Amino acid sequence: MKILTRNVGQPNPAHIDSYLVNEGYMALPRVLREMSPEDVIDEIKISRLRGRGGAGFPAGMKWDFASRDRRTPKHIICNADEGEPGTFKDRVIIEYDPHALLEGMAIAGYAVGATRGFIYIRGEYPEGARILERAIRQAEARSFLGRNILNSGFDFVITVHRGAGAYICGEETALIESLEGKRGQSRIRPPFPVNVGYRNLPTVVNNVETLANVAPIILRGGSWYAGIGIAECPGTKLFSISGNVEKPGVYELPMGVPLRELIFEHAGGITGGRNFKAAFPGGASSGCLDASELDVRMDFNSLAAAGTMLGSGAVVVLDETADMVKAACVFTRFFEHESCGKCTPCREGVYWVRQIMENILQGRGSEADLDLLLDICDSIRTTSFCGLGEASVNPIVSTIKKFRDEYLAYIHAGSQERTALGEAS
Amino acid sequence: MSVHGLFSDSELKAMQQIAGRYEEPASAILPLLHFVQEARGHLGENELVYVADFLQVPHVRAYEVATYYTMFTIKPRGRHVIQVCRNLSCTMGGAEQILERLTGELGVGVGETTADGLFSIVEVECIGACDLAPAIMIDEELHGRVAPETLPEILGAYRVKK
Repeated sequence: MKILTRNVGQPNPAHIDSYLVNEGYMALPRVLREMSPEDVIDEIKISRLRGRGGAGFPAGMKWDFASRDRRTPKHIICNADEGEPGTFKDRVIIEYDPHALLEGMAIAGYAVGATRGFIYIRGEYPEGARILERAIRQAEARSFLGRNILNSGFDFVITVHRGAGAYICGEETALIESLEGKRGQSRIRPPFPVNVGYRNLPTVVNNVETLANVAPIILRGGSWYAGIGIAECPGTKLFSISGNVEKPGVYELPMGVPLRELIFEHAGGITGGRNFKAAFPGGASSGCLDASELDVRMDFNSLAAAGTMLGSGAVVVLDETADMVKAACVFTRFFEHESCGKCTPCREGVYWVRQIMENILQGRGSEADLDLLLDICDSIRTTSFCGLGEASVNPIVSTIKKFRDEYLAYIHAGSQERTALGEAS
Repeated sequence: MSVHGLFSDSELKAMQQIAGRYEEPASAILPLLHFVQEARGHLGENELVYVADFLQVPHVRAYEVATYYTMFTIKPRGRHVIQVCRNLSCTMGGAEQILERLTGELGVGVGETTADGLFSIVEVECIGACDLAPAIMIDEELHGRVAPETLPEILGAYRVKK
């Protein structure tokens, strides 16, 4: 079933004319003519659409909270800062179906009473930003955006705002800080952005993929959507799959597809016919799965039950030749680089564990280091200010748990080498 | 404000247009810094002060933003900036070999600029092209599935570019 990728492969897919051919901008006029804001929110609630940025929060509930706050002006922010290593699925929507995103934003604006929208797109997607700018101009020219949309009296203006290379700006409160022209550092929650967001006003922050689902839900009804995939988190999901697979790419599949099917039926299996060793199902922030877990279903609840997370659906696959210690170290180095520096556990803790990981890789580790790593990781996880710090330890903790022998191999090889050199005695 | 002579009239017009998109003046800091860096190659002290004054925010607001985000640089860089992704999918795809060949080919290390001012090499985190690993970006152009031996040819195309 193709909802989000229905226009991929069409000629000139990003142009408004291509979008209009395939039911494009049919939901927005219906919303403006026939539905009250409450009707729209109810329909999204019925669909049980959950946020696709990683947290999986019910979108209808988020809109409801923002709509109930009477302070104005309200804002809709599209989070297009996809920075989770392994994620490149929002790029597909932005480049191939930008109007689906714009239509979803306008409907969200109408539902919560917002007249202003921003698309915060990661700085590394300059072409995506240009495509969105063009799409906005096309939509304004046909009165699907701007002042007095389709003579309904509803205004909705969207501005594309480029980030500048900070992973943490994918976290919604850091994104808002960044949009206010500051360093992207997380705010304490609560209060949540639905009440105190951009300029301290009610703000809905939705992921690109979440918003691209909105128009199809309005057209076909929330119950249609709720019937796709699995009941607790319905719909299709865009999975970005990379690493040691034959056909890396973005695949739109029903929520709850087994990992095995995703890798072997859709992504062409493991490169060179080698064996599967592990996968990070939700990018760098997620704990790894090993070969005994290949049948896990890819959805928010099933992966949480498996002790990891779906996140943005960024599946990084590692084959039997992969080095899990090195993989965990690459992710840890990433988190160290991206720590905003606001809180000590993340800023200092991740710096510390990265050094221990490198020591182990260079043959200077000891078995006691594994306990030390787990101890520091526990402190980072429980005391960090935001989700970035919390999640940063998942690669280390999960690989020590599931691939401890690989750590021990480095440690023992190192100590043998030192013994041979006469250092250890 | 044009007494500084830092920006031409057409540049000032473009800056006013950018600032005009925001109800909150400070929100224009990032877009204006993007604009200035694109025009000048880096964010010099005078330009930062100018942007802050332009938006009527304290100077430090422009400086803290310029030094926080990976894509902004307060130091001059080469005409072409080569960004090498070093995250997991690209590392598994051979990013280390790319970096080795690149530094060998250009004779400079990561974070450095060639003597002729043509190229700078920087390491970056995930650029959202994991399906094309190993990936590099030169200026705003993405190059995917890069093999080390194709680097001289890729660089050659930029050497002749203005």
